[in-house]
Amino acid sequence: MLEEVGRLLLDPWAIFTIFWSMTLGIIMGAMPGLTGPMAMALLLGIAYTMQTEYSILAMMLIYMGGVYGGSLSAILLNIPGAPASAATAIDGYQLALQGKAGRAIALTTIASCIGTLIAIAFLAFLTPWLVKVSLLFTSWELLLLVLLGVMMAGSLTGDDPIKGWIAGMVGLLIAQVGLDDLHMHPRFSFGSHYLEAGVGLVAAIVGLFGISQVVVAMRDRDIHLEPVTHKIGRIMPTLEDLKGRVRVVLQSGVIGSIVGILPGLGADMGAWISYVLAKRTSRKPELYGKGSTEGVIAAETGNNAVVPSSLIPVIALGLPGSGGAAIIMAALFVHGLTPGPMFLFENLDLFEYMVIGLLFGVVAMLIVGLALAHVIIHVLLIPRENIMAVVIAMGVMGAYASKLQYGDVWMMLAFGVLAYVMRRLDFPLAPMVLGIVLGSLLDEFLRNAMIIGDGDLSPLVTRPIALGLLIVLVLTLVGSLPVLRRSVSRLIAGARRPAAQAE
Amino acid sequence: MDQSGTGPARPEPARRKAFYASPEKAAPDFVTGVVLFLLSLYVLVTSYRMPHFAGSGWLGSPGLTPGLIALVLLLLSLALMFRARDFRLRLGPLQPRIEGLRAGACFAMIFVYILVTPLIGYVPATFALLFVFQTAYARKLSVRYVLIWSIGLSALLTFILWYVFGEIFFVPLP
Repeated sequence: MLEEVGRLLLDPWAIFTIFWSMTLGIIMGAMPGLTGPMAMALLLGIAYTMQTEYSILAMMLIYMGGVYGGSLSAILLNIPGAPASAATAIDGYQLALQGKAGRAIALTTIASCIGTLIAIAFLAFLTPWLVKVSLLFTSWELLLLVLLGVMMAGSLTGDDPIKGWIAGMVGLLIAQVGLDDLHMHPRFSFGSHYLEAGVGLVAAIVGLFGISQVVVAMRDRDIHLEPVTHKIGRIMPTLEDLKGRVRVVLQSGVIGSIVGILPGLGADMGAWISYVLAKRTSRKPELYGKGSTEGVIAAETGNNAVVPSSLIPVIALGLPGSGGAAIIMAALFVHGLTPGPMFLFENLDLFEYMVIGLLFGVVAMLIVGLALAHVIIHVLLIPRENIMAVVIAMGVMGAYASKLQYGDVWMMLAFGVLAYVMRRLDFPLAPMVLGIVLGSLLDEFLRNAMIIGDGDLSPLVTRPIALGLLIVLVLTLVGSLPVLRRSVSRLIAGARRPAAQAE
Repeated sequence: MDQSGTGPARPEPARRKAFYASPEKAAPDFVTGVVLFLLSLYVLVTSYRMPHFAGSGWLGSPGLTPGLIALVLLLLSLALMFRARDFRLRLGPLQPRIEGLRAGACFAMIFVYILVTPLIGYVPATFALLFVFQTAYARKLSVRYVLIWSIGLSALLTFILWYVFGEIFFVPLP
């Protein structure tokens, strides 16, 4: 581990990567209309031109900076730059109205750093343990984990579980296009050699997160962004702000870390759960919504803790739980690495590099976040039309560069249109991305399990881990739909009634 | 809510509230359900027709996974259609909204950009895209804006893209 610290410290290119990616992530996260995943998607296209370490480092820090950056526009404009910052806006904007914008920014920066540190500890210590557990997994458990990931993402990322599940299933289906791995039989390629190679992961992700976001941002007439103040003031929290906040920081950090590990929840859920729980356990809950520094700290610690911990299932199980984590997994694929139980055995150096890189990222977040505080207001007011065309140009470049096939650029546009229609119809994108990333694994695990067991489904109930996962999957499905919940309640009540009558 | 726009408002049945956050989405949901139903049916039939190879039989058939996914999708599309079954079509003259036009224009620009890039090269196409995009979506359009901002900024940004990615990172440009 110390070796990796030295390696990073003595590598100017790595330090440069840490700072530019953190700055890019913060700016992309802060600007309304731009998102961290969008920046990650654009970078994915050119990721293969970078060294693996730098590429993964940049991806992680853009993700980290994107979640943090959203808080800046939440405080200064009352417009969360990212969904994860919606909870921060409640009290952060109130603090800005009270002339304490600088203090609010300083608090969010410190809280974000501490939340990330707590989650890095989870990542460093929990991942090897989870890898040990995952070595007990057979194809059945892995199959159930893939299904659980996609279905939980479907249940939790939107308002409507049915639409979330449909998005996930369509993603899984898209991943089936092309030659199958077992017999090299073309599936749904319609005689096209281009489609036989499968749907380009980079093209799909750039289209889903990049192109559709550009159109969504340009669709609305120019929203007049009115900053609460141009004077940020003193960027230094008072002792009063920090006093007695240890409990809320630790509580929110742990909540965020746990939320990050679970598939489908994401940074926004980490922020909301932390915020609500902090309010419930606060000595001064009446201050929440009126500029509570505790509220800002809770939300920011919670959402930033999600980022490093969302890498735990990616590395240990090969299962991303969010859109951002799925893009990092795609970046690993681009470099020929396969996340999953064997990843740590084969790439321990890279894992250590990632952990140390995240720690350096925390330092970079503190420096860049505080340094940008005074100028970010001018960046936030840059007209969208000046940025979005660059995003399109970069998207085309990335989609083409990933496989040097111009067909991928058209594929990117097709996914952009699909994602735009999905957004208009309230279908969430994250389950679809998970489906596309995990679809080939699902195919592999399902057919392996069926062939090895000769079609025997009994391992689903005879293997304890598989049974546990199956129960969680069923509970996820039943618990998500009010109609299913009611049906089950009625069934149970119906079953109890005759028993009660018999007694 | 009266969705036809002709009759008096009628209270939403309580049953609908349990299913829907927004009942006005019922009609698009129904159409989406139909499209997904047809798609999953096609995938299901195609998967069933895929060959079974010796040794593994249907258990290792390439159609197994897509077939099962399509089956789940079929059920979900039926659920989507079922809960949107009493949708009401909004009848009336079609009025394109400015937001729709802006989105359409954006897609059109991306389409043309992708189309012309292999013909004229990445750098000229990117300059043209940046110029047209910034001019079309400009908040205040004036000769000065076009000459200084649109042209100048487009040239500068194109140069930065070409230099940073093409020359420094050696990214192959289309």
